[in-house]
Amino acid sequence: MTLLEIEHLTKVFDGVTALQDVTLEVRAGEILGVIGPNGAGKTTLFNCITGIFPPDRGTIRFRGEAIQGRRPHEIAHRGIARTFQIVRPFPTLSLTDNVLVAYGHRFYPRLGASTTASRTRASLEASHRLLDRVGMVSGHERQAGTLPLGLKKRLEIARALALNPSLLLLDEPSGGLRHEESQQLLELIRRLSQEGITVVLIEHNMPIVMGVCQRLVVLDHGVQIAEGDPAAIQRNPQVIEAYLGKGSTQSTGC
Amino acid sequence: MLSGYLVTVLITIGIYVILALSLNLITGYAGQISLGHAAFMGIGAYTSALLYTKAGFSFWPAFLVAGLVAGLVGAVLAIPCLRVREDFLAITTMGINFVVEATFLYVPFFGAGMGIGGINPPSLFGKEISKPGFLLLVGGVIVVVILLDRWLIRSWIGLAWAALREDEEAAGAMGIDVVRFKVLAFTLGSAIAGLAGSLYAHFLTFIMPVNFNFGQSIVILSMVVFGGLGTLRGPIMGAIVLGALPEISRPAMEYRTLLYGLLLLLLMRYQPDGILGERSLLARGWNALRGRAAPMKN
Repeated sequence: MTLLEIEHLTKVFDGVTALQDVTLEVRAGEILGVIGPNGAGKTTLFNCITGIFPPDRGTIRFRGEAIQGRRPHEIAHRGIARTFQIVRPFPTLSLTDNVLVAYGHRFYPRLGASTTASRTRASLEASHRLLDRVGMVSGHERQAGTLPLGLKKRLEIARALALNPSLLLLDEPSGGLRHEESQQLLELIRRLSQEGITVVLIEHNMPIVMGVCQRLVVLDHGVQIAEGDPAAIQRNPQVIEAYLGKGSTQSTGC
Repeated sequence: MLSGYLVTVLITIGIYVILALSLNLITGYAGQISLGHAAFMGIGAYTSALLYTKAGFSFWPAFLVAGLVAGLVGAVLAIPCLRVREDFLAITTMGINFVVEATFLYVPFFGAGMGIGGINPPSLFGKEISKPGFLLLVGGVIVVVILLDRWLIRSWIGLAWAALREDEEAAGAMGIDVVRFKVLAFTLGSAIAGLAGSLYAHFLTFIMPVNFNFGQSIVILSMVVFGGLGTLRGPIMGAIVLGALPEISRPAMEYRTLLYGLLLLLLMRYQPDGILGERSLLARGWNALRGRAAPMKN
């Protein structure tokens, strides 16, 4: 079943074409990798999907409904959650509160519900459980800004999960992580996929990409140049030329 | 028995406490900088004054309508404020202040430069209430505002505002309608400022445009920042200290604008959280005494 359908997506910034006529689909239950050299338009793709800005042309359909041009909170309510390339938890809020903010999505839209107390036993328990689920079992009352990078990234995932998403967009989740942390991340992604969440991953870290993605889409300068299973992509000469050939020798997560 | 002078000072401080708390909703909780807050105090004051002097309203309905009108105008004026951030928002709110003041100054309906006079104090059961009675009224409004604040902070609205304050884009991605919550903050903050304006008008018995100018906005902002932006105790303390200061010290009164400006500068440099803010010297010292780590936002 197709969960997300993107057709002829085009986005131009001040004369620079970030996305050009991109057409791809995301199938329910899969782990899809979006790869490509820097500046290929991968994060722009995420930003269009999540409503940070509307595309100039093209459609984005989620479960058959056109969502392009909708605002971020509307997209979040439909079950699409994301993490950010440069991690951005709410710095002075605790870990629990960070997750609670996203958990509150059920209450924000209705005026009556939004006036009820936020820190109820149910909501706090749910937040603690979500933090446990991503492997953060203690220190939930710390300020998010004091966390090391690896934990901040996990917090962002816990926060995204609080939206109860059917589609999870992870933007370079392994960026800046040590090898061991990347492995733990791999495990987490696999677990989430087994639980039924469809995952789309932007990644530069090839071991992660090859290790967990079932299918890949390759972007270069805003254009989709290849699509297929990881093994086929690895052999694709166009991809090698655009990306793997020049980039694969660089360190994959120090 | 409280002297008449003391009661007057307390009423003035009380009105500033309400103003500081109302600005704290917009700037402290929701994180939207507003340099024109006195405009809404003025809208409330003029609404109340006009309803009383020209439409024969008694104080009580005039007071409520003043809050309503100020809130409504706040909601409308929030719209140009929505798409601008930080520096530009500061300038936009400043502009709003100047436009509102100019409207009072140049439109004859509002009494122009002479303002409006003859705004009598409220009456209860046919008798004009005494000064101490007015103080009680102000105190009552303060209590209601504090209860409202506490309720908001503990609700999902308060959490949405906190997220909005920390990172607007991430907040949106987490399901928060950023526009709606910004407008809500501006509306509530402006409405409460309008109520304070009404109290001010019926206390002073005459009002002029200059009472609600940019300088007044800075006074209110100084109180909030001095005490501690975003906390409940901060703006209250700031209003008490900075409200009492000009009464205690004549030079402080005359050089008030200079003094408050300097104070803001020093605060930004050394204690940006305010005197009673979370990470301030006093708050940390207090928590150290009580043996625990830095507090979370309440």
